[in-house]
Amino acid sequence: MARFIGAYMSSHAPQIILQPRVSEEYVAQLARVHGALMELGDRIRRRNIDSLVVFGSDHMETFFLDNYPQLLLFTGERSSAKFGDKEVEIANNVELATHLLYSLLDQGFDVCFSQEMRLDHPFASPLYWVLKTAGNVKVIPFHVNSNVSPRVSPKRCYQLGREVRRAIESFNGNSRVAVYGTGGLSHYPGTPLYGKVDVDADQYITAKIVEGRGSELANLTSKWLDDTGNFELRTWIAALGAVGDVRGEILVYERAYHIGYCVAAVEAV
Amino acid sequence: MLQWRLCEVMRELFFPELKYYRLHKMARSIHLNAALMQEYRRNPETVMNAFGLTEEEKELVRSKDPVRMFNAGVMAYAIFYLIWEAEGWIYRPPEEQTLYKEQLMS
Repeated sequence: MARFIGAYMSSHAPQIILQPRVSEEYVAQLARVHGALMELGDRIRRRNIDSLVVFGSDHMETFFLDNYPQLLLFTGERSSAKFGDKEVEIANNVELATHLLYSLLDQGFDVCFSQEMRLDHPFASPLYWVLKTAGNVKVIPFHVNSNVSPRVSPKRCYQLGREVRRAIESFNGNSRVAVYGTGGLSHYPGTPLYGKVDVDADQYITAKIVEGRGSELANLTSKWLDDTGNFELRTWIAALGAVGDVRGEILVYERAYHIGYCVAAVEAV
Repeated sequence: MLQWRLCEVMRELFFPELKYYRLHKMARSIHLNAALMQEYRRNPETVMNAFGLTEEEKELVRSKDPVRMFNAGVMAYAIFYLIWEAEGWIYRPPEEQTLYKEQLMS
């Protein structure tokens, strides 16, 4: 049976890949975020992880309002994203993705699927750096709607993560699999609050991760997530649902001018 | 008071109002298509007409005012694509591209 290795989490702001040189301080902060993402990749390689289920949330980029899914698994073979001169390509583990789809449907999660899907920044932005050091890892993109209302509840995200882990552990073969949640932390893009970062809220979240109390984040309300700019925590909560209450590490936290950048790891074994 | 009002609006932050469907579609297309973004920068009226924007939507886009757009109910990501990306704010110094000023909220 496949083995579940752990959960990784990070911000996914487009600036991570676009790298706007808006100030010397910001350039230095981004460099530290890039370093932490490549450290995650290095851990993935050292732990011989061959497949990564990535919970990301579309922002009306891959999908539009003519047909907007709450939960969607990519079951096609390959996908990519382009940002200027930078390109991110991923190869999927189609067998595992299809197994996850069937297992989740059996367990009451009505997950959509797509066999052709263009990636965008929620996946590409962190993976551009992680995949530089992660070795030959397959990536299974899993859209968890955090950015277009109405959205999946935090509690449901946690339940989803738990079921994803059960499904991984019921997969035949010798795969070593981890999950990865992308987004956040506190930020308010496109709003009059752009530039606000709720550092207290971010510290509350990171403390729960360090203390191995991630399950408590499932009790946060959608309103709290919106008020603190942490609406994308849904993908982290899904990842924490998979790994359970295991003590974690914060590899980096940077209060930048527009967001609280964070990279975290919770390893189960 | 200002903070309360903004927080009230924040609860609706990500709901895509049906009346702005065309505007949201245009903003997304500009975000995804570099050639269209260039065309929009050169001739916004042509692009707005191509997407069939109403006069109300055109006025909001012409204003280039993200707060006005937000308070009118335009989706936050459409605003980000039209202002921070198409207008190039994302490359400006932090103090020029952020809207939240702590002293206003205290």
